[in-house]
Amino acid sequence: MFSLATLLYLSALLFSIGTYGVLARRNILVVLMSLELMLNAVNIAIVSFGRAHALTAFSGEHGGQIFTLMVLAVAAAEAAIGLSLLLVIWRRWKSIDLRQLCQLNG
Amino acid sequence: MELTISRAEILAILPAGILFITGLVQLFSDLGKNGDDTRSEKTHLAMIGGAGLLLALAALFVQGTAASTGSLYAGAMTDDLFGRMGAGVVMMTALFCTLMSGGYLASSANNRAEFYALICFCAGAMALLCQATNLISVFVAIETLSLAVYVLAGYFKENRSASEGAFKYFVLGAFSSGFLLLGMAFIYGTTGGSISFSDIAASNGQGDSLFSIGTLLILIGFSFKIGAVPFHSWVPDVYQASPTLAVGWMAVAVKASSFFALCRFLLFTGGGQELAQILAAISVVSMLLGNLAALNQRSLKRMMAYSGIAHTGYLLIPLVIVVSGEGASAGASIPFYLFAYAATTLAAFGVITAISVGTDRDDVRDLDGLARNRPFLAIGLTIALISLAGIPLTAGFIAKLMILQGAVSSGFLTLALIAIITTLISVYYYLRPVVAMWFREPRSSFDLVPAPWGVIFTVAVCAIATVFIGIFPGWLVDLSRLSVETILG
Repeated sequence: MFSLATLLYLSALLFSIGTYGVLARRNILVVLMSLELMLNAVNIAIVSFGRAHALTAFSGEHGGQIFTLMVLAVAAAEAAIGLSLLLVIWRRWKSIDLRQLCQLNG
Repeated sequence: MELTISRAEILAILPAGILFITGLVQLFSDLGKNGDDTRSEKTHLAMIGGAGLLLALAALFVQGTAASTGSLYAGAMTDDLFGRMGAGVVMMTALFCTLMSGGYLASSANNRAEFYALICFCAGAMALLCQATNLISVFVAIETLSLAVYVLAGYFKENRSASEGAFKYFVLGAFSSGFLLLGMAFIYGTTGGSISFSDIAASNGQGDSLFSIGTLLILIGFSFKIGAVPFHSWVPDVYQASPTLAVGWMAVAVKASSFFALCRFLLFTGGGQELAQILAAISVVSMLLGNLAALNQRSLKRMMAYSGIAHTGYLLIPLVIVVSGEGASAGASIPFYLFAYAATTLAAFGVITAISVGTDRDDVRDLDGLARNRPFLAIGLTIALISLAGIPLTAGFIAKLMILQGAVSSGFLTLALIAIITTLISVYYYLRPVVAMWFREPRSSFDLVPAPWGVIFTVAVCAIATVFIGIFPGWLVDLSRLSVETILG
């Protein structure tokens, strides 16, 4: 099917899009989506490495696939915390624009 | 594949398991009680938390200084003295934070079981992080503790700046976890599918440039958690905006457990000269920026934030020595420093909590004449600050001495010199509150409520521990040396 390199390029592309979204976008929902995109891009990298190693059969175990399942669980928990913080911010500011959050002087 | 669980495996997760159960019991014990009693102190929550934490500490000490049990759970974790020391620091910190919570939260009408439970969950995850020996368990533990800390930072959800600080912390934290995970993926890929640290060390992937990039990315992820300089921008804001107790918890426990995990990881993987130089640069910049920026802070919490960045810089010096391969024994100063730092910082945050109870103020000028009104708090804060400044007869002095000794004997003279110069700079801002407390007139406009009992207890124990370790450091030094030897042995 796809070679390891192709899958890694896809993963790198998605990771870059996620990074750009977190840094450049000002809508909190888009930022949360970009964070999820970053984690899932790495998931693609891990499962492709895992498949490549299963083919060469160094370890014979499926560490990468298990890793990905754990990351999915963590990402779900992270999304829950992120969305609840989003709710708190919506109640205080009536806005989900990051530019409104400027009480702290960095 | 065998699916039996040995006695050693049960003993290894027992402390963390007790903490998770304690957190659940606290949540259930508060069920059905509505928000109208959030002004009461709820001593039962502190009692449950205290009992659970003491039980977990007892489970930790069952093994004493016994050597490593080897890899448990198919290499996911181990139970050695190093991990037990890390878990010990975290659990003692959790114990003091739990005891302080009641009085602090009741004064702000926000006393709910969630705060106590989150501290217990967080402590459990940190205990696992200190014992984790593969990439999956490190990632899951570090994310679990981070998620709990994000919520603790935004615990006062009526407060705008607390919510803003918590959200910024969350976004930057999740962003850095992405890089941490990417680094782990690269290491997994270049070492032929190794997940556990010992497999990574045994594989021949070290020469690969992708492996070095992976290690660097993991370092970036950890730098964020410990607040090292290029990734420190969240520290002052979050410290200023969050509940004082949550800040004390972050400053001590998050930093300590991350350092324990990072030290274990770097001891296994090495890293080579390039990585050592990058670490040395991060360390130097952290020491300089932390200490210089702390000079003109009016808020005590912001001052402690920059001081924490500076201490991260000092703590990175032994890691530089470890990574460059000049002597793994230099790592022994890390557990000692973190113990000393925990006692000292908890005493300082105890006093800052006592001042902010009911008033929510933390300005240096609010300390004016504290020695006359509250001599006990003034003595506690003085001991903590002179220990942070590294003045003899305190734990902070011995800790800095150990780091400098290691740096000089391994030939890192420049790092040692910068550490000494920045320490001298730091004396200025550490002694400014001391002068304010002892030599200024009290401000009549500022009424101090009596400090809650938990705060008084914490300040007393931590201040005494700071002086005790400063005068009799031998036992802790030996313990730290032994613990670092057990990692590799």
